[in-house]
Amino acid sequence: MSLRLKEIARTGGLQLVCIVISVGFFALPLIYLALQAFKTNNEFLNNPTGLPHPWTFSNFSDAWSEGDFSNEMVNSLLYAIVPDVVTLILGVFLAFPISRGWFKHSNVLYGFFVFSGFLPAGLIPLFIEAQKIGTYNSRIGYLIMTSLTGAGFFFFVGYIKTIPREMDEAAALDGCGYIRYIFTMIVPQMKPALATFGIFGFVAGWNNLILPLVMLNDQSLWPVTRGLFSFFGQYSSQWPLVAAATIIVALPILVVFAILQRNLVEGVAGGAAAGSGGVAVAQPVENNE
Amino acid sequence: MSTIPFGTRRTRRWLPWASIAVPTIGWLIFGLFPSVSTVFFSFTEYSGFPGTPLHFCGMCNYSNAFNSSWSDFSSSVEVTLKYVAGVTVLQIAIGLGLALLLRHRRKGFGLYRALIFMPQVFSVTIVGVLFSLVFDPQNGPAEPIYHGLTGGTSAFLGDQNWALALVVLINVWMFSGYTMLVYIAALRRIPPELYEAASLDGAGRFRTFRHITWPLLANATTVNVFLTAMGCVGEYALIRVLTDGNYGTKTLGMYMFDTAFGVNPSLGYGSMLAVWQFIITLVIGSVLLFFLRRREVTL
Amino acid sequence: MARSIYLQSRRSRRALAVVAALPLAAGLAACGSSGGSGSGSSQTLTIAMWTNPAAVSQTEKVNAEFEKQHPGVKVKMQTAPTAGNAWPTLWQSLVSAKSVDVLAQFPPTPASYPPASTGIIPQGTPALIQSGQFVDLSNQPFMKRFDPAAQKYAMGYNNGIYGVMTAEYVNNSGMFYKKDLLAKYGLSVPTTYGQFISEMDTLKAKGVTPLYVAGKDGYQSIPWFGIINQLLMQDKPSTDAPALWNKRAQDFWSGAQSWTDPVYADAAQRYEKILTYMEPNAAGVPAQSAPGVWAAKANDFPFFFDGSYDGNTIAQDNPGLNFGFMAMPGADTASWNRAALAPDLSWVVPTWSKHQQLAMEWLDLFTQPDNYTAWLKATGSISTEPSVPTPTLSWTDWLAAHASQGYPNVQPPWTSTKFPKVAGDIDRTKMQPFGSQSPASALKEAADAYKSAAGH
Repeated sequence: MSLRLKEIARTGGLQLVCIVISVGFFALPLIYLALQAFKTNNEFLNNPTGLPHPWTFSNFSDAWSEGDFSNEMVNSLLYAIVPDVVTLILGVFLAFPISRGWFKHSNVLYGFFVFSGFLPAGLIPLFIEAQKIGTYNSRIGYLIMTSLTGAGFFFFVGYIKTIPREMDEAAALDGCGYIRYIFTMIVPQMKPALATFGIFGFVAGWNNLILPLVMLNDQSLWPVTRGLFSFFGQYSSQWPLVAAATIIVALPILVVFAILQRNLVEGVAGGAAAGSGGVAVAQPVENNE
Repeated sequence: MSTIPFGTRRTRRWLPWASIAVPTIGWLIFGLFPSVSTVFFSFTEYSGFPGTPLHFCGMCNYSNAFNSSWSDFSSSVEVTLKYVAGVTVLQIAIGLGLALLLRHRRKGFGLYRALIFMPQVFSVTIVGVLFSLVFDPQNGPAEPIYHGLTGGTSAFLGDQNWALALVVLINVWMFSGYTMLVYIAALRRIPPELYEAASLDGAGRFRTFRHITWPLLANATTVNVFLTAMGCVGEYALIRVLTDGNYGTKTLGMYMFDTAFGVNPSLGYGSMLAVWQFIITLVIGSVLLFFLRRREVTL
Repeated sequence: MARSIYLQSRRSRRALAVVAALPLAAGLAACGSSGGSGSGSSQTLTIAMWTNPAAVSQTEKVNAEFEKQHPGVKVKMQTAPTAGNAWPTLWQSLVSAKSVDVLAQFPPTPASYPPASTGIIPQGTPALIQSGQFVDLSNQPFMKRFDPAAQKYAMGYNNGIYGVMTAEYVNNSGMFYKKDLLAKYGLSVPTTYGQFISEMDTLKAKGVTPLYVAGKDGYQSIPWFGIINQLLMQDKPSTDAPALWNKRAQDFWSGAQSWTDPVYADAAQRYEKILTYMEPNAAGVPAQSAPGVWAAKANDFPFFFDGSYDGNTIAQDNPGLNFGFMAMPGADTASWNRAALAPDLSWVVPTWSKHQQLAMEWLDLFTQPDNYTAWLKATGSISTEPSVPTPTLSWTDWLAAHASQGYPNVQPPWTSTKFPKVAGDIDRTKMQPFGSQSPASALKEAADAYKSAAGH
C-alpha cells in the first residue's frame, strides 16, 4: 500500500471512530427517542426497538394540544431571557468596582462572594420568604427571585482585569459617566464572556424544573418544563406520546444550541484559558495601589 | 485601594457601593439569608406545616443521624462518595480521551464536538425520559444489545450491581463534553516545538504523553477535577428521574429530599442533611484543591 | 471564567433541587394570612389532586357542572403526578401558602396517631389534622351518603372526620390475570397458594413467564403485604381488622411481636417463592409503563401484581384483552385469600380556606350519586357510598363478588421520623430476589432496627 493510500485509510478510520463516538454514543439516544414519537402506542408496545412502520405524525399534534405547550413556551422564554439579561448586567456592575479595587477591602468582598458560591444548598427557607414578601405564585415575583439569586458573578472580575484601567481614566477625563462607561465600553469588551454566560444562563433558565414546581402553582404561569413534567404523569403509559412531547420541549433549546453552538463551544474553550488560573477558591484581588 | 476616576469628589465615595448595591442586596435576601436559615432549622424539630410547633432540640438531628438512623445516613454518604469518585474519574478520563481525539481543526470535527457537548443543554427531565426508555428491559434497545454481547440479561436501573454505575455513566454522558472542551483549549496552548523536540529525541507516543502532554495539562486537570467533583456532590435531580434513589443509588441529596417530602416530612432532619452535604462539599473541595495545586507545582 | 460559567449552570441545578425542599420549611409562613369569608362577585375555588388521568377528567366534568350552577365562580384545578415526589411538593406548597380550598389527601388511618405514651409526635397530614387545619366534615349533609365507620377509619381523629374518602382500591394483594391465557393452558383461577405455585410451574414448563411486576418502582410490596395481610387476618371477620392492626402495632411497640416472628419468616418464604416465577428483569420495569406492556403482551405474563387503580388503563391500552382482577392467593386456605382494601383519595377542606361554603357545595355535587357513579366508572374504584353499587366493568367480576369480604390493609408499626426506614418495613430492593440479602437477614435487620429505635 502506498503512503498516500495509508494516509487516506488512516483519516478515514479516524473519521469513522469520531462518527461512531459522537453520533453513536452521544446523539443516538435522542434519535432513538425521536423515532418512538412516530409510532402508534400499539406499534410501540409490539415492536419497541424497530423503525416506525408506517410513520405516524399524530403524536405531535396530540401532544401539542393535550399539553397546552404554546402558552408554556412563552412563559419559558420569559423565565429564561429576563433573569439571564438582568443577572448579566448586575454581574458586571458588581464585578467592575471590585475588580478595580475601589473598596477598602476589595479582596474581602471578592472572597465573600466566591465563598457564597459554596454555601449549603440552603435555600430551603426561600419558599417561606417568597410567601412573606409576595413573590410566590407570581410571574413578576418569580422573575425577581431568579434574577437576583445568582448575583455572584465574581468570575467577571478576572475578565475585567484584562481590560486596561487606563481606559477608565481616559474615559473619565473625557467626562464619560459611570453607567454610560460600563454600557458603552466595558460591556462591549466583555462580549465573548457575556455571550457564553448568557447562553448557559438561558439554558439553565429554560431547563429549570423544581423552582417552578414549588413557586408557581398556577398552571397559567408554568414554564414548559413544568408542563412536560405533568404531562409525563398523565400520559406516562403512552411512550410515543411522551416521546413526542419531549421532542417538542427539547426542540427550541436544540435549535438555540444549533445556532449558537460555535460560540458556545469556542466560548467554553476560550474561557477555560482565562479561567484556568482562577480555580483558587479565594484568590485575592491584587491591590493595585 | 485605588480611587475611582468617575464621578465628582462627592459622588466618588458612594458610587462603587451604589454599583454593587442591587446584586448584593438581592443576594443577601435570596441567597445568604435562606442559606443561613438552613443551619438554624437543622437544630429544630419541625414538620414545616402551618399550625405545627417548632421545637428547638439542639443537636437532636445530628445525634439521630449517628445513632438510630446511622445505617441510612452512612449508606447515603457512602453512595455519595462513590458517586463523586466515579463521575470524576470517568469524566476526566473520557473527557481527556475525547479531547486527544478531537483537538485538531479538521473537517467534521466541529460537528462531532458539538454533538458530544449537546447533552448538557437538555434538562434532566428529558435525559431521564431518554434513558428510562433506553434501559427499559422490555421496550428498550439496551437489553437486546447486552444480551447479544454477553448472553446474559439485566434489569439495568433496577439492578443492585448496575444502577449506580449507570447513573454515573449517564451523568458523565451529560457533562463530558464540557471536560473535553476545557482539555482541548489546554492542548492547543502546548507549544508544538515541544512535540518536535520529543520526536527528535525518539520518544514514543506514550512517553510523549506521559512527559509532555500530561504535565502541561495539570492546570486544566485541576479545573476539570474540581468542577466535576463539586458539581456532583449534591446531585439529586438526575437520580430522581432515573432510579428514584432505589437499588443502591440514594445519595445524600436524595436522602435529604426524601426526608423533606416523604409521608412524614421533617424539616429539621432534612436541614441537618443539607448541612452535612455542605460540609462534605467543603471537605472534598479543600482536599482536592490542596492536592491538585501541590501537584501542579511539582509537575 | 469557564469555572464560573460551569458552576453557575451546575449550581442553578442544585439550587432548583434545593428549592424543592423549601415547602417543608414553609410552615413558618403560617403566621401569614388567615381564614375568613370570601366575598365578591367573582370567586375562584381551587381544587388540587394528584394526577390520575381518569380521576382528573371526571373531576373536571364536575367542575364544569359546578361552574354552570354557580355563575361567577371559577374552579381552578391543580395537579401533579405522584411519581418523582411532584405531588408531595405541590401539596406542601399549597398547604404552606394556604392557597387551596379542596385538597386531595391520602388518608392517614389510625396508625398515624400512636398513643402519647410512645412519645411519637405525628408529622405530615396527621399533624395538620391534630392542629385543626382541616374542617371537621362529620356534620355535613353529604357525609350521610357514606359509611361512617369506613370514613372514620380513613379520616377520623378523636370525634371528628376531617375528610371524605371517595375512592378505595385493592392495592396490596392485587393481581391481574389474563383469562384467555389461563384457559389456553387449561388452568382455572387459583384460590390457594399451592394451586398458584403449581399453575405457575405448569406455565413455566410451557415456556410462558408467569409473573409480571413493576420492580423498579417497588411494586413487589403488593405480594409482600398481600401475603402478610392474609396470614395475619386469616378468616377473621373483616370488621376485626382495625382492632387487629392496632393490637399488632402495640405488640411491635412493646416487643411482644417482631419482624423475626415465624409468621413473617413464613411470609418471606412465600414471597420469595412466588417471585421466582417473575420476569427475570422485573426489577427494571417502571410502574408507569408496566400496565401497557402487560396489556400488549397477550400471550405472556398471565399474572401481574398491580393495584385495581390500573384496571381501566389496561382495558384502554388493549381493548381486546380478556382479563380479570383478584386478590392473590398467598395462604393455603382459600377463605383467607381475601383482598386488602386501601382507602385512597379523600377530599379535605382547610380551615383557612376562604371559600369554605363553596367547597362544601362542591363536595356535595361531587358526591351526588350520579356523579359518584361516573367517578367510580372512570377510576375503577370500589364504592364508598353504600347506596351506589360498585359498577361492573369488564374486569371487575371478581371484585364485584368479593370486594365486600375485603378488609382494611395492614397498618405499619408505629414509627417516627427518627426511626430508620427499615424499622417500619424491610427493604425489598435489597432482599432476594431483587437484591442479595437473604429473607432471614432482612427480617433480622428490620427487627433490630425497630427494637433499637423503640428503645427496647
